[in-house]
Amino acid sequence: MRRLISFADSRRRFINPKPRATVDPVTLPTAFVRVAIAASVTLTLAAITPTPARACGWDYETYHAEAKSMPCVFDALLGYWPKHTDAYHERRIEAFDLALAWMPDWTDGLDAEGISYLKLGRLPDADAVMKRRLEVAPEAYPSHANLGTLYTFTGAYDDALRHIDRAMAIEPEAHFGREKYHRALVVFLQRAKADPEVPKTETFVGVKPTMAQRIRGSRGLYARLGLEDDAIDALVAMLTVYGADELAEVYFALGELLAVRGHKRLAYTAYRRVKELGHPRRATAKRSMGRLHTALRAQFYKGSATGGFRRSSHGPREDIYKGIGKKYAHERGGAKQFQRDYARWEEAKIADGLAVWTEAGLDEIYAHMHAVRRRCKAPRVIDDPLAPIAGRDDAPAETDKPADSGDTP
Amino acid sequence: MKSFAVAALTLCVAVGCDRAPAAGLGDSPRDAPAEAAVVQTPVTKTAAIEPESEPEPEPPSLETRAEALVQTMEALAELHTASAKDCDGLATGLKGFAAEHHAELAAQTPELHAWIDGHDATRARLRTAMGTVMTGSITCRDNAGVQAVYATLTAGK
Repeated sequence: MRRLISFADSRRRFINPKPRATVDPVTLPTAFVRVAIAASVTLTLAAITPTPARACGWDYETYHAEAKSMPCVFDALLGYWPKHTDAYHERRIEAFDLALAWMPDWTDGLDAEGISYLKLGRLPDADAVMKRRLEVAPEAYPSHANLGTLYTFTGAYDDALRHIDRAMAIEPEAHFGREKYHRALVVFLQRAKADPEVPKTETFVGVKPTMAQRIRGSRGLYARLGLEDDAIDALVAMLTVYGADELAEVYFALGELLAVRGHKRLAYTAYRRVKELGHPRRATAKRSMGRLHTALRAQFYKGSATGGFRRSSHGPREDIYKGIGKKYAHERGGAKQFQRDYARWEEAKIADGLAVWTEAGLDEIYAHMHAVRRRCKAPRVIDDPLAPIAGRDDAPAETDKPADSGDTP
Repeated sequence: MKSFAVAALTLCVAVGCDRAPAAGLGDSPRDAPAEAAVVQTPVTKTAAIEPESEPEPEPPSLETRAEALVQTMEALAELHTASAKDCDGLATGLKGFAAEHHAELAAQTPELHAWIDGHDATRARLRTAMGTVMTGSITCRDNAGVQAVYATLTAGK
């Protein structure tokens, strides 16, 4: 095994004889400096943690992950979706190393390795492999899409945009046409890096609702503001497929979209994550949560003769509306346990020899994902009628009543 | 072109043709007297038009090379399938396969893989074949013989 590792290393040297020199911005310590730079945007954005980069990209699994189903929005917000383990990526690299020994320029192999290195936080390796891929096929979509992703997470936004633009020109409908949201995020992060005020007043999806619009959202309002349902799919994919699950900005944007579309409980959940992750607009998120709570309580007691309190002859009046906060805390704990359970399952499967580089292997993984937690049909995951939604049982019909006035955002 | 000219000359000789080959098909102008004399001279075709050396064969197209590479990798996949439960056998087979296909493997170019990258059907066949290769090789990754073959493959790269 050690020899396998050593020849894998020699192959990597072949792929890029001077990876450290050419990757200058992302040598390992520097990578973390870069992520730290991003993290300074984070304190501005309070979003990117200096953990190994987890990102979006393109390899043979991407279509599998996006085309059939995705985690439902509630699950995406809370973490009820399976995340690949390090063991998964390490095994993939081991397998593709063997394949690349026969064909060092095999593009599918380079894509798979590049993405796995990226997800493991091995940025110099990812950079070397992805650049080699670009040399082999400079006009191919994945060559640019994956480098665009890598540079998004290293904070080299100019380079990221150059590659994303090239990728979009080559294949405008890749990722089901959602790459424009990735581009919008990079532009936003780039602007936020230059001007810390940007994340305090804007979102990367272009929505700036008033407080009233957040509380009285509807599908009609959503459409009138020129927003597309695809945006919700795109942001769910960012969280659950591409690894932006620690990026507070995505949760804030998703919260705004959900609120404006009239999904109060989902919006509350998104704002709660925003608050936890320390977004610069966490105070706005907190205020929104309070207003949404009040609105939900009013809906719960609508028509109640007691004005929302149960009268008891044996004690004080009792407010039986428990609110969404307790449910959130309970579900968040459940989601973390879910992640641990999935990781154990995947690691056992890897140890047992599951061929994760084959369609059959992916089918088994995705069948398990679906079995342990129902996934929503993609696209338009927000419209899946069977999707789990926080407090669905007591949810009133979400009306199409337009918002008529507004507070400051 | 030359073979066409040979055929035309042969035909002329056979039927007593007194016309020069059509413009554009021959190497000389239609009204060249020397050419006409040649046509009318009963010489063997070899003496008249055989070039002194064979022309360089055109290199195979990328499509042809890609097909050959995919077939080679499909053969490699079959080797893995046949030796699924015999790592020593796989090691022996891989060693022979690498030696037999050394030239073809060494002749791979980025252009060839870029061509495959842009052609979905060929790419899918290659992915399927390599999936089988990876599965078989991973299964035998602790076999010393298999490790030696892979070490040889990557040596110096």
